[in-house]
Amino acid sequence: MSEQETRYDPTSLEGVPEAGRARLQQNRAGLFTSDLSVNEFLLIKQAGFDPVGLVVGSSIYHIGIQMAGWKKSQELTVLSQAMYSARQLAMTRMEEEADQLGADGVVGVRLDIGRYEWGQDMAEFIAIGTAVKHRSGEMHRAPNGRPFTSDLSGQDFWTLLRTGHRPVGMVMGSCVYHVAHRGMLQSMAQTGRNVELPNFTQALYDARELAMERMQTEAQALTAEGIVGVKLDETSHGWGSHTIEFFALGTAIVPREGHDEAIEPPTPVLDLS
Amino acid sequence: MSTEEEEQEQSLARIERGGITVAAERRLSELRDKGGLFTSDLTVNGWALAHQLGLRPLSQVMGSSIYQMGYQSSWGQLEGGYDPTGSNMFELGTLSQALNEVRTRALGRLAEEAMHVGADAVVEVDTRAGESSLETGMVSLEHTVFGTAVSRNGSLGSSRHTGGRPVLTELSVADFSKLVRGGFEPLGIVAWSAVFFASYGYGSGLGGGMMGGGMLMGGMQNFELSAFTQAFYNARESVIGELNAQASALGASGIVGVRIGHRAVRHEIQGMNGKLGGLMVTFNAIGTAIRQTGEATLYAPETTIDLTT
Repeated sequence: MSEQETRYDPTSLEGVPEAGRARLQQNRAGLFTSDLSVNEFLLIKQAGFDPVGLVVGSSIYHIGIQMAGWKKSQELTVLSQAMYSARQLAMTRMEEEADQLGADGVVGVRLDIGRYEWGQDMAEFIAIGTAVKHRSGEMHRAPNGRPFTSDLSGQDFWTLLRTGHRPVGMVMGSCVYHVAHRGMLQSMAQTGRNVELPNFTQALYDARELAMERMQTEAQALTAEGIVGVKLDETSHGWGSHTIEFFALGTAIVPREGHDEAIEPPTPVLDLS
Repeated sequence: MSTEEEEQEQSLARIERGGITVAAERRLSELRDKGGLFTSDLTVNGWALAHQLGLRPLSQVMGSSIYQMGYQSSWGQLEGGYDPTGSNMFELGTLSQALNEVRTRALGRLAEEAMHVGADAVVEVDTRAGESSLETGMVSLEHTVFGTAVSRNGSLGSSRHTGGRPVLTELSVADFSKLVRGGFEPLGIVAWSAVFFASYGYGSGLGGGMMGGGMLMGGMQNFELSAFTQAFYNARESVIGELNAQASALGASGIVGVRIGHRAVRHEIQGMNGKLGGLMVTFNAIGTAIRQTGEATLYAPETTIDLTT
């Protein structure tokens, strides 16, 4: 699914209104905005980074229609593709904005997918995060030159750096899949009995294999060592009863050069408050 | 037939036998043989602790089963015969069996995936279970379990327990780490579900119908609905008894991290004298069996006061 790579232009201000440009100017001049909590802010500072600004990317996307065979289990590629393209647009716009601020990366990214009653065939993708920059200019970008992205909180970011690893990018795997209907005769023969519904089980497995494979491919492109904090969702974004969607989102990590450290064995504590 | 369709046929046949699909097996075996990047459900904290403990994450693993629940009537359920004046209670065997079968299949597939990837254990097993009516008219159970397959790098005592199956556990890496440091090791998940039914009757004081028996006898008094209480107790005994049996079969010294779920809903089943109304009690429990491996060294925690709130 990664062949339809969205064009990345670090100078692009697409969609940012006049007032927004002034804001970016201000951020560049030293005033930062963020959605970090106080604890997160202090931990990010402690890790050697400065927040530079709140960055946002958004895309409202129209999702096409795909008919599926009644008795055939198959991926609904039009729908899968839509989920991918829209997310890529939103993420790329957020990365471009971070680049404008000279950031090394974006932490605490929230990627929300909204579907509304007013537009059944539309989905809204929005990515929000806080752009950060390393104080002593140590290179922390992803291998493709874009700012790194991660959905880790400030606390998780700090812990990860302490283990000698750093995030390189958010990776996603998604697949929308149609489940075959059972034949009438088969349904009738099994009425009232305890039986597994293999068509559903198999469809879920297929959807998951496709999604996981795609997430791994994205991580490989970033030369990652692995993926942490994967959120799995198995929903049907209102696609209907015989359609399932498998969605996985996580942060790809790589070892930090020259930081081969392990955390201390933790001390058990009992909170008395 | 195209190769894709052939593979789909093969996968369906495997699922009917309780196995996993061809593609899943292929990806996991490749990961085991050739290595590659790991995927995991671990949080950063979990991952850092695993790192510290010598547990190496290999892959996110899944087990899933979607299952059609059969019908159940009361015919043949009442061993002592139907008691028209009292409350009748019995286990809804078909329903119990469906709940146990769907979970066993899902956990079995999780273990199978972990075997293919060469793991010693699966940690942070997370269950998502629900009911739906996927195909009109019938209740479908969906049971999916996710977890992270890990290898122990030989650093933590014996690897797999007897039988060579990977050890499954719901415990988080933090709990796992505390247990291991305390001289215990997890042996596997133990779980069971039971569904019991108690019908309305004179004894229960509810729903006497036209005869009005229940109302006449109990309308104005406070009293316990003993038949319903009994149904809960029976379900509980059945579940905990089975949990104990599973744990001793694993050679465990105990069970930790038990989650208990129960619910009671109005239910009607086909009985001998028409519909039989009553209460359906579902009880389930899942936990991790553990065994002592070394001297129990329990760390005394330091006390702290959290100043944030």
